[in-house]
Amino acid sequence: MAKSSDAFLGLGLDDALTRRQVLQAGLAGAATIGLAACGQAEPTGGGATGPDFKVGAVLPSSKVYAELGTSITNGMKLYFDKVGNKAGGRKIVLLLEDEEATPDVALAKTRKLVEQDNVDMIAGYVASPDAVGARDYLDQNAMPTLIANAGANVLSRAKKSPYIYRASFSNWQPSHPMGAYVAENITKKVTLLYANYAAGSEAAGAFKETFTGTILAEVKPPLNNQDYSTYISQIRASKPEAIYFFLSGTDANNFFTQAKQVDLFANIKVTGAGFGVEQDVTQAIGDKSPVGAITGLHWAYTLDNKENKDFTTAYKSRYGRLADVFAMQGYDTARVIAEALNAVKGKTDDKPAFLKAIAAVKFKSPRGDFRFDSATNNVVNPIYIRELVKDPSLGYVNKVKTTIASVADPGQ
Amino acid sequence: MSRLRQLRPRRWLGQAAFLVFLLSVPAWAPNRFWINVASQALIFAIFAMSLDLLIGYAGMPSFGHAAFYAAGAYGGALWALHLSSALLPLLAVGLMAGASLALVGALALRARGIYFLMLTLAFAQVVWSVLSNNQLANVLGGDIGLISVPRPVLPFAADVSLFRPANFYFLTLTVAIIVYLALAAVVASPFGHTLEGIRENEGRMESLGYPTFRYRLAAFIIAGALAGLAGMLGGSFNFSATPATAFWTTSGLAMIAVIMGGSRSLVGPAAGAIVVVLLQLGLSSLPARGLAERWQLLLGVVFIAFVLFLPGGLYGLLRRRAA
Repeated sequence: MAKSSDAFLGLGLDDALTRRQVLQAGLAGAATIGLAACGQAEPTGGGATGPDFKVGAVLPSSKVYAELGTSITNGMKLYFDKVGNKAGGRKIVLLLEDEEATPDVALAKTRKLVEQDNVDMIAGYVASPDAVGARDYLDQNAMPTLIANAGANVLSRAKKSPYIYRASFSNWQPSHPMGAYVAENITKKVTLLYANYAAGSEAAGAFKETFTGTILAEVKPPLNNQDYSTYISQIRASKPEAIYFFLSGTDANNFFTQAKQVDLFANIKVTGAGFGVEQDVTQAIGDKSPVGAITGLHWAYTLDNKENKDFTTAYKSRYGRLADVFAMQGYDTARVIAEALNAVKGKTDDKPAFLKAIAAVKFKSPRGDFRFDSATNNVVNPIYIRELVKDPSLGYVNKVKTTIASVADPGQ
Repeated sequence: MSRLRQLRPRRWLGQAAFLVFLLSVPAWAPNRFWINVASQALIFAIFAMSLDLLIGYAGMPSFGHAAFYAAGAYGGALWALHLSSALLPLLAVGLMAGASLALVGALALRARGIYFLMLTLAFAQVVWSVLSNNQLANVLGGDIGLISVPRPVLPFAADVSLFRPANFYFLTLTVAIIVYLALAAVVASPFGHTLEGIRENEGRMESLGYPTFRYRLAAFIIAGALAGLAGMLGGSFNFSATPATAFWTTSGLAMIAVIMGGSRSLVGPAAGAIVVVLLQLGLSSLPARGLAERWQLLLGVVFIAFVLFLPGGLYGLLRRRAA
């Protein structure tokens, strides 16, 4: 791995260093303040023939996206355990590093996994700035990478890399079909509400591409906002028949709780990108959930297919809570790795062949048919238009109303 | 007197040994990861030394130093992306960007002590919010920042690739040594002594006829310029300039480095910066997940331990040993 990346950069000399490191890692590393040993791979178990296939996962375990990181990690572990942590005759070892939602830290962790732990592959990235920030490094080092969440459109467009594939979504995907759907089926008078950061503005942009009605106002609270009262009055003042929102995590918790308190949705419909009404939110806010919200997403808990039932049941019994879209993405990310390893029979030394195998991975995912788009290296997603309902046994979950098959990022 | 003379050669010997240690890092580093860590630590060391000029010598506790680092990172990134990646102009751009922003931030100089600290913090947060504003995304990249920043190209030796970890390390080492020597000259000069006088008793210096505001302004600009230089190097090291670099946590880490290393010594904050970078990497990669998530807490404990048991910081410890 290191060898080919060095060749790519024309770094002949470092080869000697990387080979020597195997002997010195423990010794000299420990001498350098005794930190080198941290995060080393666990010893190999029996069963597989080839050397361990090391997957370095850069996922947040602290700060704002910790919940998402946990879901993705759980999903990955669930799938790897399902296949006995083996694929293509090699044992799969997962090395975790905390992304923290700070680009420089995420890049430092990526460097550690690539250069110190000699991982064969990188997976993860929840926050778009972290994925985009690591992109150049991964590309220069020719490191096969699977993005498990970060939706920045640019990664499928101007900054797409032959080494980086995305198993989650681009921000464009869930919101693009929603514009037309809302205009045709709900109302032509909409106010946009989105967290003022890249994902929010990209989602709003995709919505506007297909929305034929009037945008009455664009309300843009900052990311990680606490008090939504001024934004709620801005929404009221614009007198919309519906809002289209892009908020997620605690932002969605706060907004929906406060909107309920002032009964904002008495005669305003809720539509949006589905992240903000996923299980992590609805389980936290319970009866403050905006029942009846129409949202677009590449998955729904209640999707009626065998893979999804297997996945949600196994997830519930192992982790004691309902799976969310992020867990599903982790599950699929792990599956892409295993399927690609199987396809090349564990021979990852031939990197172009391994990347080809990743590009060619196809399977029945909990979200439906999973495949990559060769033009963008991004996953082609079915987009489900869902309604939030209160289910007597599951609580607040989304039920699918309409399916839009094969939504692929336009790539520019 | 004789004792002092005996100490001197030892000091020279120590400095020479330390220089050899720094120069030989790429030779004994177990892999390129540790060479990159060393580059990262040196960049942070330049940043911390520039802050020490303010905190340690001039007695100006700036809590917004990250703004100038970010100015250098963004200035360098914009220059390299749109104009040229020749090294020498890039270094100048880093210095100029930091210095120019310091000129704006100089409004904080009206205040002193804790008020100065709060004003600089507020100033840096304003810079952060401008950088992460998506309305300016066309120019500054919004909350994602600027990416694909090329590494600088050396003059007269364009074929020596700074993508190579060892080469980039020698570049940062060279800059760090020059910055150290420059700052050492500044603090040893009459200008530096005046700053110390202002720190001890500004009113007295004023009544002696020193235009103290100008001295403090000059110190602020020098520190800002050098922080910008560090930022420019950091940007090309990470191939990106991100708004997070301007966030108050960056200023906080630098302050911790200065205090842990021992302020008013230059080498102390540099050593503190190296320790902070290593702690950040090591603590946040601990095998125990629960602990790793709380590396800031562990860093805090280490920091408190330093304040309680080593009030002079690492440098104070060295001095006590030498005496």
